[in-house]
Amino acid sequence: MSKFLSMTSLAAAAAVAFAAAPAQAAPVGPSDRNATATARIVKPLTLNWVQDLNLGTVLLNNGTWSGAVVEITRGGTFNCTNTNVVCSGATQTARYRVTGTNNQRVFITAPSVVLTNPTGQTLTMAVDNPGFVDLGNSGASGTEFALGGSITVNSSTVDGVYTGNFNVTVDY
Amino acid sequence: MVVPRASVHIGLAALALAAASGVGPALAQCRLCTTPESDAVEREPTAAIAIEVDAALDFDRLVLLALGAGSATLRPDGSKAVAGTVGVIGGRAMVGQARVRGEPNRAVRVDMPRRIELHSLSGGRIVIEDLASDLPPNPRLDSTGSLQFRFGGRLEIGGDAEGEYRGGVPITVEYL
Repeated sequence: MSKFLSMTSLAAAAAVAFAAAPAQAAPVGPSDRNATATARIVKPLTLNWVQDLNLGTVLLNNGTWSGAVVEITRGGTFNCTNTNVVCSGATQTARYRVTGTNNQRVFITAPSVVLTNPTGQTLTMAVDNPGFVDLGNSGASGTEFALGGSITVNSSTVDGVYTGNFNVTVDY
Repeated sequence: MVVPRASVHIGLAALALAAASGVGPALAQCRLCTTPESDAVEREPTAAIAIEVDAALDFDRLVLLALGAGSATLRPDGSKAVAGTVGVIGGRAMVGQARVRGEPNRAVRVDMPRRIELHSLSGGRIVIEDLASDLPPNPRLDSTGSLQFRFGGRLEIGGDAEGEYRGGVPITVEYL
């Protein structure tokens, strides 16, 4: 009997202890966080012509054929390997200089160029474009980049001097 | 020591009134005993409140057309404007976006500064003024315990400010 009373007493003591303990409060205080704000400030780009592209002189052989490619890569490598054409003369890439804010990447857009001869015949020249150029620490002197081009001729291509204009744009 | 009689009389009257009140029924309302009607709204919240940043405030690229003062504004509704020497604001500029989470339907307070500074690695400094959000005047969490808002401001530029800038927008939220 005394053992039973002792246990009852212990339970009561425990109940008192629980009642006396403070309720666990939810963490409902203020919460804070830092959002980020960013901005990149640049000066306008300038694009200047440096030199024209030249594919030299292309002599077309007789006969009926097609698909002879004549090209100069943006790296300056000239290719004229088709046996139906003979190439000669000086060749060179087009070159431009771009200036802007240091350490920025500048993206280059240069669509195909339509070349026209004096009698109105046309050839389409695909442009070999690096796509972008990094200005690095070029400062006011800027950075140059080259554009290559390729044409495809065939036995029916009308002779003459073909010329056209690049439509080059640059953007950060 | 002389005690004025008038004072003694007043003291006795006060004691008598106090005794009478103790004997009679209590007429005054016991404010601690009743349950206020507003208790359901104002009780202690049971869920923690938290703020999450979904998107940074990004002015993208700003093209300066000349030296001098200019500004670019990104409003919380996403609209943009430039003024002064700032000619173009990049197409990828976007307002900041954050979300408050907590107990559903609770009123909250969201604090953010009206002005912050952005710094570049080279030591440059520019300022965003008039930071503002699209929060309503009395913001409240929805039935799912969420409240999303957007924020923007006006970036002020002066002089030769070329560079990449970064800064923090401290946002604090709490239950009302």
